[in-house]
Amino acid sequence: MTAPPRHAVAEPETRNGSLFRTEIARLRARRFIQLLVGLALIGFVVLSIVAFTQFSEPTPDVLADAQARLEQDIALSEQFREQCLADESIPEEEREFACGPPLDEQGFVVENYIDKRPFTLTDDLPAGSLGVAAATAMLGFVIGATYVGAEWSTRSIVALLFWETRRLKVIGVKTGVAVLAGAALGVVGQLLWLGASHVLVRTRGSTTAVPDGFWSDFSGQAGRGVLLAVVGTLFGFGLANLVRNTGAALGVGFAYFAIVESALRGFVPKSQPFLVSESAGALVEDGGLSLFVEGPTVDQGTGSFTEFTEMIVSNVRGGLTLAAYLLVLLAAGTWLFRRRDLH
Amino acid sequence: MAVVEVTGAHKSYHRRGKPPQKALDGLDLSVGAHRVHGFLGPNGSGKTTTIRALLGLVRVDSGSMRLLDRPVPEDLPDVIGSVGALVESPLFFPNFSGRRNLRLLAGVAGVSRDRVEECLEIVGLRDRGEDKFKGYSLGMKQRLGIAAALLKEPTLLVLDEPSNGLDPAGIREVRELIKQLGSDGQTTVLLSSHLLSEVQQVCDDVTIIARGKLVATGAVADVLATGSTGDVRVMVPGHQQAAYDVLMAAGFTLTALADAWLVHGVTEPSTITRALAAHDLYLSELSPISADLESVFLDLTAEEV
Repeated sequence: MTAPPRHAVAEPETRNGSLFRTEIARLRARRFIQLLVGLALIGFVVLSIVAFTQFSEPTPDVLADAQARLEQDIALSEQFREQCLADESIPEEEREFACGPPLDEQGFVVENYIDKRPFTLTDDLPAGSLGVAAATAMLGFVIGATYVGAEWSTRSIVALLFWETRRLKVIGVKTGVAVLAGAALGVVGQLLWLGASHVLVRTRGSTTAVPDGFWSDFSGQAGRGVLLAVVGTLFGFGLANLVRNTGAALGVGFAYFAIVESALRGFVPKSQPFLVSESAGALVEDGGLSLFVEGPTVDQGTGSFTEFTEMIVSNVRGGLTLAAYLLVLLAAGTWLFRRRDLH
Repeated sequence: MAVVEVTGAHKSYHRRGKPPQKALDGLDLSVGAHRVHGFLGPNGSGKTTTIRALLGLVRVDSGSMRLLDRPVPEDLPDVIGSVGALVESPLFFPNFSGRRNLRLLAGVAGVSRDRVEECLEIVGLRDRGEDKFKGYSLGMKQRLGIAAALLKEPTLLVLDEPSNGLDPAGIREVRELIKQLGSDGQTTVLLSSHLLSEVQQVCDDVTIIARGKLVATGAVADVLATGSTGDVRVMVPGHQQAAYDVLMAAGFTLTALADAWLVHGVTEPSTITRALAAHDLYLSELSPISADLESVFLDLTAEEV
């Protein structure tokens, strides 16, 4: 070792360091996070290629064949109904009920008669966006957990406190970086899907015009999808900060989603609107999430049956439920981080 | 001005189902400026707890602490920029290179990249700066920890067992570095070590603690003096028996060694020279047996441990 040189450097008070910039650098430099993002990108490319094989712009011959089969089905259905209505073995007063209502031709869609239907913006873009929101939320959960979990495993968070002793500031900055990471994931995921959809609609899509208001509804859903990615990242971050270990946080997350939620859905159906998965769905889906909540079992002499009540969990309610859980999780982790002795 | 001042610090650890464990029991510690201060104590005596409390990682139950004349933990954010610390094992990301680990820390406080390179140079890791931390030997990890502690050009450097894992050459280099820092007139070093010889060689002052209490403190020489044996080894070639008779007559107590006498209870060794010379007996050796820090440490902490 050589003698330590001493020369003019900025006094500690005037040094202009940035914990935020440093935390961003730490996050970006983590090999495991780079690996996760890389795998996610590969997965996206693979799924996009699969999507290309599942959709097809129909040729005129295919369309004509589908139209012919559609018309054949309509004719068969009308024929069946007429025969049914003429069947004297059925009491006259019951025939309407037994033979069903008159045929609604709008229920027959030509796309259903094509093996590989074309990609449509109105149906497939929002559906894919929901999938991207769920995927980025899960990816965010793992990234958020490993981001702070690794700091606890290596105890580098303790080393950081030799440089910035204000624990609230340290955890606040880390939470901010987790929010930013989640938002970046969500935005990039939604943009990638939008780009892939653009290619799909041009090469494998239907040229049907989108209805009025479609793009504003879709933007809202995609925005809420980004929000879900942030929520997922914060859940992973908050859980790992609480249990101080990435693996334990992932284990708790798996146990909750695989066991606790399934058990609650089965044994306490009324808890569904309060579950994380349902709340996440309610947050993102356009118009909220429709749930059928099990009611009382009724027996009116013709056998017992269970009544189900449809319940709409709105976007706002889903978001507020998730926010409440997050608040408790982050507050508990922050309180413990501030109070605990660190070794 | 004391750079580190701990007064009456108490700290107990509470574990579920177990009685509280006292880590600090009214500890006092005072470290003077621009000195190398050794901090000695048996395992579990409260050294690391004290250091962690000073750095804000552990809260004491009662007592007061000051760093660089400011109360801590209240004013710690204001003084931490002048304090470098290596506490127990260095804490770095294993998959990052040594250089990247240092740069990340430097970024928090706005320390320049040049300073990172300087510190890597100081600890002899500049050529290995791009290697992953997990690939470093124990000694290299320890050196990187020292480099991190030096980044801020601290006025107070807290080193907890800095020689851990170093080979003999590395230990010597670290000791030289600590000596240089202690003699630059700007840096105070608080050195916690279980290596008594290290403290004796490197430190100006020492504080010995046991069971969370102060046992002895002061300049190393003064603390050594408290454990002085008063024994002197005397050799008078060819006249050992005559020397024995003279010294016994003078009132000394002696023990025979292989080729010399061990004279006990000597407050002034020159009295031996005078007594023997008066009988025309001349010494070839007169060696006061000085206490080493190890024996003083063991004596002082024997009752506490």
